[in-house]
Amino acid sequence: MTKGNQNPAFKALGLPRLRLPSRNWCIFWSILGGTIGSIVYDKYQQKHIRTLQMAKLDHLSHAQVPFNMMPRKITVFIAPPPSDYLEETLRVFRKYVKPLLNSAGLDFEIYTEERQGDIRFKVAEDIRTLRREALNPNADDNKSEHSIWNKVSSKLSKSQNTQEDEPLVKMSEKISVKDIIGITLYNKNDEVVREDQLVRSPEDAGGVICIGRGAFKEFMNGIHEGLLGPLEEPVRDEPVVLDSNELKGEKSSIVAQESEFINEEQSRDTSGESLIDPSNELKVIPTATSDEPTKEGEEDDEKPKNKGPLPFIYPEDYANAQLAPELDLSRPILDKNGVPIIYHQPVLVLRQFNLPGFIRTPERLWRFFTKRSQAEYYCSKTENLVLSRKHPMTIKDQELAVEEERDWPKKWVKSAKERNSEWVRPFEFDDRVIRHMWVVNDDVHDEDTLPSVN
Amino acid sequence: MSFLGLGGSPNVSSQAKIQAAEAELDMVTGMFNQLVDICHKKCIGTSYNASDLDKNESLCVDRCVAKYFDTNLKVGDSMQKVGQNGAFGVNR
Amino acid sequence: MDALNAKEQQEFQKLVEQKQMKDFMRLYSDLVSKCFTDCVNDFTSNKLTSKEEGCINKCAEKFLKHSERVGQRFQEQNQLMMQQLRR
Repeated sequence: MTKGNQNPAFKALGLPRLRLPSRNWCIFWSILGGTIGSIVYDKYQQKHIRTLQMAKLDHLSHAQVPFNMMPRKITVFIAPPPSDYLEETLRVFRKYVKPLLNSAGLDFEIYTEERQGDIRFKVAEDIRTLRREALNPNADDNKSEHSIWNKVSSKLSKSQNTQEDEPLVKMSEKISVKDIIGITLYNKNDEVVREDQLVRSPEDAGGVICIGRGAFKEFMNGIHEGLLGPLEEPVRDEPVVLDSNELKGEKSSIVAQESEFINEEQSRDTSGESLIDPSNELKVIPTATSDEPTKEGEEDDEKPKNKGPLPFIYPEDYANAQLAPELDLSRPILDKNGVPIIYHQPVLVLRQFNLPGFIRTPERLWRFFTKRSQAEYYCSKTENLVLSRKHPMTIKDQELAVEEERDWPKKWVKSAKERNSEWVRPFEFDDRVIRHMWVVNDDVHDEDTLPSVN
Repeated sequence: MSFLGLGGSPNVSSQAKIQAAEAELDMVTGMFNQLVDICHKKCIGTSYNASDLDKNESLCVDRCVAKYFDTNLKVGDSMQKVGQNGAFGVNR
Repeated sequence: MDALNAKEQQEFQKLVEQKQMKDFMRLYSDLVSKCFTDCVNDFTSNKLTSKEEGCINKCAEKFLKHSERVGQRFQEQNQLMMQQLRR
């Protein structure tokens, strides 16, 4: 529109002339508008995708269940992205995964870690506990507790009621809440039934979500460690090395602290396990004694404490190790509630889209404006888990969410390699272990190409 | 606080013991009834379409009870702290 | 931990039974008032309509199931708390 070229009718009506602002203002407004518009659109799309998925699963949560039924339970492992905070991953969970689980009427339990190794240790320790229980089923934790309390109470009664010889009974052992509240008069049945108990085959029970490639690695390492590793923590260091450390005295405080830490670990050991081979011990030494830079940059004093638990077994030794001789793996392993343990439950691996670093700003920007694709990714995968679309695990599944490793900052990877972090160590599966494991399908159509074995 | 731990110093008369135990029983039933009431309000819809709980309601009830206990403990803790600091003017 | 001798125990047991009965009565009256407020809103006749009756049945059943579930969880949480206290 050029100057002075206005519709005479508008002019007669007294309307002001319509014209564009100056070029610079045009550029400014269009960039601003475009940016805000694309953010708003992206947000709208994210919400839209999530709402659609939730609506799709919503009918599941309206299923009637008996009052004593505990719904299916998902175990969620969340690890922070490399050189970032756990909050980043938690946000992903809260935004995309949790709403879907809730609208599908699933229960979930979250395990997070602030330092590497916690998830692996938790997973492995659960399996080891089962193995120990299988080894001597009579040993009951409650019993020991009881005996302590009996001792205490008998002592108390001796000191205070010497004149009376009547047997004293602790009422807290005789009555429980159940005896007081009125509702139990209406129905005495107080058995709890878990939905996961009633599944036909163990892989239909529950489910595991690992958010982050690192969480997946630790989860798998934990499974391997629990099944293949020794029951007791192996002796980390040879006494000779320890002595030499002690001889050095206060030369380096860090080394001294480290050796103290090792001492503690050794004292925790009840017996030197014969299962562990010497090559293993040798490999541990560099990890145990090297100066380990912590991720969050904590103070030096906390270093030994801040270090995650060390594995009982390394991937190199998987092939030589015996597969949990205490457990009968031909049948599904059940926990004390009769639910198949997470080893049998289908695993879903979700990658992270966290991209640190200044040089990669363009890609970061791209990801920032297309978060809807992430929403789509998380939602569709979670839906697969909810609807139990799965296939048996194969060696190929080592590569699950491997794309995420491309995003890991180079500097972090380098320092992680230096401290022998398990996120960058060789990641291996043992065929005997993964034979009983299941993976949630990558997309909906997987089901057609990979018919289930059972 | 001890629920049915039936705490209380020994060396007291049986009457006092029974009374203390009764107070604790009252506390347990009281808390339970509150819990039933609160969680019903928070979790159970008032349109009675079915006579069973659905999964959402069941999970809601489970979490409601767990959170109520947590709240109970937290409030107890902070009360203790306040008491120790003498904010009520007890210790001053 | 309070220890009671045999006589006290008996007395206490009786007390517990009384308490439970009382609690059950209270639950019943709660149930009535709850379902009455939620279901009965039409006072144009002095008989319950069939709709109201259905609502009351479901309400009562649901409330009892709800209480049972709360009872189960209550017990679990209580045990958990006791264990924590012992430690």
